[in-house]
Amino acid sequence: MKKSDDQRMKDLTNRLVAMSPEPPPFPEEVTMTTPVRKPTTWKPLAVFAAAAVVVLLGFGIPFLLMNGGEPPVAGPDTTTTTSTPVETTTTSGLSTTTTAPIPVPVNEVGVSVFLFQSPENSFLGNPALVPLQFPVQLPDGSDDTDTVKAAINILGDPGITLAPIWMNAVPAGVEALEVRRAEGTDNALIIEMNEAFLDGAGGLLADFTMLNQMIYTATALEGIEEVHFIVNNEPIVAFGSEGLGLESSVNRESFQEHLGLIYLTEPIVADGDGTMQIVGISNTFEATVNLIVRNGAGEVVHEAFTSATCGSGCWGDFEFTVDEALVDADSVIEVFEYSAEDNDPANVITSPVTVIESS
Amino acid sequence: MGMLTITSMNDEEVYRSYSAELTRYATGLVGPFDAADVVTDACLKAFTSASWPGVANHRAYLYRTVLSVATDHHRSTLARRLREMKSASPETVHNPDIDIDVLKVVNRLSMQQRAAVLLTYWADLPVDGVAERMGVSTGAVKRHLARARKHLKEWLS
Repeated sequence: MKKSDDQRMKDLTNRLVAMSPEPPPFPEEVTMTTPVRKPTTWKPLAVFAAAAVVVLLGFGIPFLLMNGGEPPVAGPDTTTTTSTPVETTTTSGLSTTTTAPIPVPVNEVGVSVFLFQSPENSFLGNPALVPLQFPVQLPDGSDDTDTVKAAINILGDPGITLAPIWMNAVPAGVEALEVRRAEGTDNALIIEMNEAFLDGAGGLLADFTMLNQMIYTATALEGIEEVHFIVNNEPIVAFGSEGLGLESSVNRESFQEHLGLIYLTEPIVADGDGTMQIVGISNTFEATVNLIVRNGAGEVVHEAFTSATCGSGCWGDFEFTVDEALVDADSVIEVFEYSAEDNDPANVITSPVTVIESS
Repeated sequence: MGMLTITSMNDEEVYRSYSAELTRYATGLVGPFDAADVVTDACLKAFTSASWPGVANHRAYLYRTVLSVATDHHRSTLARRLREMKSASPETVHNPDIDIDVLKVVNRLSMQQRAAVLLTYWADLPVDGVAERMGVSTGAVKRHLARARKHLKEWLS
């Protein structure tokens, strides 16, 4: 961080704290009140759906991906890696167990890949993104652009099949041929796609979802904020079924209005440092976002709520910090809002926890 | 619900020692409008906690409690206060002590990010000191700071 940035941050905090009122008097006699919480009410359908997911996956349906006859890209008991040989990552799933740490090559890294979940009502809601951490093998000497290329190509891998609760709008065969940094900027990438990309995903909403998945996956690389898709080294003037123009760079806000009202922006990872973050973006009533942590049996082990930085018509960031002691590789995280109409959970996002074990 | 009377002088001494800086900290977390309430609630929560008599570092404990109460204070968020001010009449809004621009900037941050920024740049604490006051790991502090800087990019540029 530049020194001038430090000065700006100090200036900001000093101006903020300068608004401080006088300290309140010592609370010698105070009426204690208990904050009123919304009751947790779950419709039988929601309970059934949650139970069905647990039972379904508990009977051994692969967690996420099976790659033909080859070892799964990510699935039950799949061991993924960080760049440090002494650490291993165990990709978690609803029905999986943590595997023992295994030394791995340094050129195997975890990347964030954005899948999506369908809304409860496809006529009223939009798909919500859910990022998961996947392992990729990279040759020695690979750089950040190779990592982005590999992450995008997971989405278009023809060998991929998905567990029912996560979906992928990127058609099989869509491939990033080359990823490079845009000249004159340090926050933009140019992604050369193959011609299969131009066909889109088969419908307007599917096209937007496909683009959002690819944009969020590409910009998961720290410092990258924009991507410019090209085909045959030319800007794209007509993409997908409706001929969307993609001549310019796009970013995470470009097609945000076609996303669900709550979505996650980082994979949920318990890396052994004591706490884990659940980070996302929402546009909910009064900016309130709720969290439930379930264990492998589907039991609620933790509940919390927070306020996003904006809501009720605008997008805001939210973040939960959860004690890692509450989760294991079988845990499931649910993020949602209570419907202002009937107080039922709405816009529910379900995500596994990726557990990283250090030896 | 019931009435609670706190008479311990020790608690009062602790309160007098730290209430001013806790109020400034709470101002950074929830804004000036709700800071006093947050400090009062946090101190009550701390003083009535079963673990309070065994607490060695009162200051760090109170900081963590203020952050916890501020996080739960979601029904009176800074965002709502700013909306209320925006819809109020200009005469009501005019308060030379309130720096709206700064509040709007801080409103972009989550509560954890605000805490990490405040403790780093206002309290001048090292990362492990910030982690102790927040009750999180040093890795979490670094992540909160990195995300905060990303959200404050316009402010920093």
